[in-house]
Amino acid sequence: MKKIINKVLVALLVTSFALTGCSKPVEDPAAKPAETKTEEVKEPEAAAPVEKKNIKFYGKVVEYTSGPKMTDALIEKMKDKYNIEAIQVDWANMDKVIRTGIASGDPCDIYNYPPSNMASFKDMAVDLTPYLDADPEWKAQFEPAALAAGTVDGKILSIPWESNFTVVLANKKMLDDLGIQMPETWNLEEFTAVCKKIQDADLFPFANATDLGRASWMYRNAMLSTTVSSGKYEDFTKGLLPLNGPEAKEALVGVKSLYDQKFMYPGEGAVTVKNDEIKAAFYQGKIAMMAEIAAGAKVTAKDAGFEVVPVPWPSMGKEGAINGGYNGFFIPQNSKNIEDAVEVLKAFTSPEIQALHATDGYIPANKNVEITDEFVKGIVAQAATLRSPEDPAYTAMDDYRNNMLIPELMLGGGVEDVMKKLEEFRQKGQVKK
Amino acid sequence: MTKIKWKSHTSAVMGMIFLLPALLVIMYSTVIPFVWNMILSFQKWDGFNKPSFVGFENYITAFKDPLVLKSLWNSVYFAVASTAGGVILGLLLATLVFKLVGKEGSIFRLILFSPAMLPTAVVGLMFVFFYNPEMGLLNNFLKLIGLESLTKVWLQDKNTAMICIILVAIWKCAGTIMLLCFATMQTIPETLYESCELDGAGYFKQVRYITYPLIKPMILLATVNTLGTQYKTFDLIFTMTQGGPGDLTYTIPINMTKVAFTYGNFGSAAAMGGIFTVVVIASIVLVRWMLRGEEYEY
Repeated sequence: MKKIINKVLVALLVTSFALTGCSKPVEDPAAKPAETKTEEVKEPEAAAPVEKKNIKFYGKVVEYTSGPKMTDALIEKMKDKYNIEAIQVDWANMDKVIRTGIASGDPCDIYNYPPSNMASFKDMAVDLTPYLDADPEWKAQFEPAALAAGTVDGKILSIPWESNFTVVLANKKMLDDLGIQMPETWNLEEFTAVCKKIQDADLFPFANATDLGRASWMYRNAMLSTTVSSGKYEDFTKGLLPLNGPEAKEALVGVKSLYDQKFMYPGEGAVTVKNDEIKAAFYQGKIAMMAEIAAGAKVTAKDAGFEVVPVPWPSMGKEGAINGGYNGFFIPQNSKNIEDAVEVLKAFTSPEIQALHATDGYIPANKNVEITDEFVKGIVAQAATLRSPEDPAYTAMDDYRNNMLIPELMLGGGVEDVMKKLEEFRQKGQVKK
Repeated sequence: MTKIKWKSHTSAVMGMIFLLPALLVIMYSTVIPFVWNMILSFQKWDGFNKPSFVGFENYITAFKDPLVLKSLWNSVYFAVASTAGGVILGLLLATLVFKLVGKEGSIFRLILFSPAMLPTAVVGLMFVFFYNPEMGLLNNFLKLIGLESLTKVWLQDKNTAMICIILVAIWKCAGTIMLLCFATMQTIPETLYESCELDGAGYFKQVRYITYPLIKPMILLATVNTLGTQYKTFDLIFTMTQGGPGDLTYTIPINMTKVAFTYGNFGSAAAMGGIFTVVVIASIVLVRWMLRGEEYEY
C-alpha cells in the first residue's frame, strides 16, 4: 500500500513539474481596467510604440581591446530601433559557425568574414552593390581597393571594417646590438645576409607560424613580389598566370632557402611551429624577427617587454609586396532582416564607431578616421607595398596553401611537386568559372 | 498469481514512463541525427541550396580519395594504439595502487587520475610546448642527461609525430581505466587472496590468477568505452598538429570537419561518417570477441 502511495506521489510530482514548464503566465484580472457602460471622452490615440527588431551580429572581436567597445557603442547607437545581439567571433571555427548558421535557416544577420575569402560564400551572401550605390556617402568612406577585396564576379559581397595585412616585427635592441640597420626594403640576398649575421650570434633570425592560417604567408608574399616584379600581377589576380612558371619557381625556391638554411625558428621544427611557441620564443629574446598580423601587432609589441619595431617583409622578387586585406562583414541571403542589417552595418562602419578602433591602436577601414598612435602609424607605413587582391584561390586551394604547401615543400616532393599541385588547383578553379 | 502479474506489469509501465524523458533526449540528440546523417550521405548539399540525391557517389568518391583512406588508417591506428596502451597502463597502475591503503592510496589515485580531469585542448597545447624541439621539456631533458643525439623534431618527424600524440592520449585516458579497474578490484573478496597466499602464491601470481580473470568484464567495458572515445578524438590532434604536417596525422574527424565546414560538402562528410561508423562498430565487435571469456560470480 505504502509503495502504491509513493508511486502515485512521485507521478504527481513529475506531472506537476511538466505542467509548470508548459504553463503560460495567468493574467491578473485586477490589472484590467473595469468595463464601464458610461460613455467616456475618447482621447486621441497615442502612436503605437515601434516594435524593435532583433538583429544577430556575429562581429564581436574580443581579441581586440576595441572589439567590445565597438559593439557596445553600436548597441547604444541603435537601441531605439534594434535589439542587437553581439556574438563573439570564434576565429578558429568561423567557417563552421557560419555554414551551420546558414544551413539551419536561422542565420545571424551579419557575419564577420575576411572579404578575400568571400568566393566560398558567393552564392549565399547578399549583393551589397545596390545598397552602396544608393548611399554614395557610405561608399566613399572606403578605399576602392577595400571594396574590391570583397568583390566576387562583379558583386560587392562584403563591407570592410578594418584593414589587415602581414607585417614583420623585430626586436630593436637585438638588431642594434648586432649592428644591423633596417633598410626601407630588402630583397632575398640582403635578407639572407642579415639572417646569417643573426644566426652566427646563436639566435633565430625569423619566425612564421604554421597555424591560424599563417603558413601561407611566406608563399603568398613571395608570389606577389615575383609577379609584381615580372609585370604579371594582373594575370596573377585573374588566375591566368600558370603557377608552375618562373614566378612561382622563384617564389618557392626563395621560401625554401630560408627553411633550408635554418633561419626559421626553431630550425628543424619550423614546418609545424605554432604561433604561441613563436611568441614565447620572441618574448624570451630567441628570435630577432617574427611575422605577425597588423591588427595584432600593437598587442604583441606591448607584451614583449622590450622595444619592438615594424620592419619590411623581405621581397623574393625585385619589388616588395605583401598580402593583406581586410576584415569585413557580409549578410547571408537567408537573413530575415536584410535591410535592417545594412543599416546596422552602416552604423558599425561609421567614423564615430570606427574611431574607437583607431584609438586602441588598430587600423579601421574607414578612411575618414585619423590614426594618431605612432606605433600604428609605423605599421600602416608598411602597407605601402600592400597588394590586394591576390589570385582567386578557392577553398580547396586555400586549404592546400595553409596546411599542405610548406610541409610538402620541405618534407615532401619539394618545389616541383608543389608547383604541380598549385597549377592543378588553378586549372580546376578556371574550369569552375 | 494475477496480482503478481499485475504488479510486475505496473512496474514495467512505471519504468517506461520514467525512462520516457531520457529516451526523448537520446532520440533527439543521437538517433535522429544519425538517421539524418545516413540520408545526407546519399545527397549532395552545400548547407544552403536544396540537397540533391546522388546515390552512392559520395561513398565511391570517398573510397577513391587517398586522403580519406589515409585518414581512416590514421584514425584506426590512433584509436587502437592509444586504447591498448591506455588499458595496459591503466591496469598496471590499478595493480600497483591496489595494495596501497589509507591516505597514500588516495593521494596516488588522485595524482594518477588528474590527467583525465584536464581539458583536452589544454593538454594538447601543453604537449606542443613539451615536444617543442628548441625549448621543449623533452629535448632539454635529453640534452641534460647527455642524450642529445636522441633529440628530434617530434611533431614533424614522420616516424614520431603520430606516436607522440598517441602517448599523450594514453597519458590522458589511463587514469580513468585505472579507477574503473581499481573499483572492480575492491569487490573481490579478501578470502580468495588469503587462500591463494596460503597456497604460496605471491602478489603478482594472485593478480594473474585471481584479480585479472575476475575483473575481465570491467576490462572489456573499459576497453570498448575507451576505443569509442579514442575514435572520436578531434581536439587533441587538432591542437597539437591540426592533422599535419601534411597529412601525417590526419584523421577522419578532422577530414569530415574540413570537408563539411570548409569545403561546404556536407554529403561527402556524411558519407565519410557512415564508413567510419562501420569501421568503429567492426572494431568494437572484434574487441569484444577477443576479450570474450567466462564470467565468474563471487
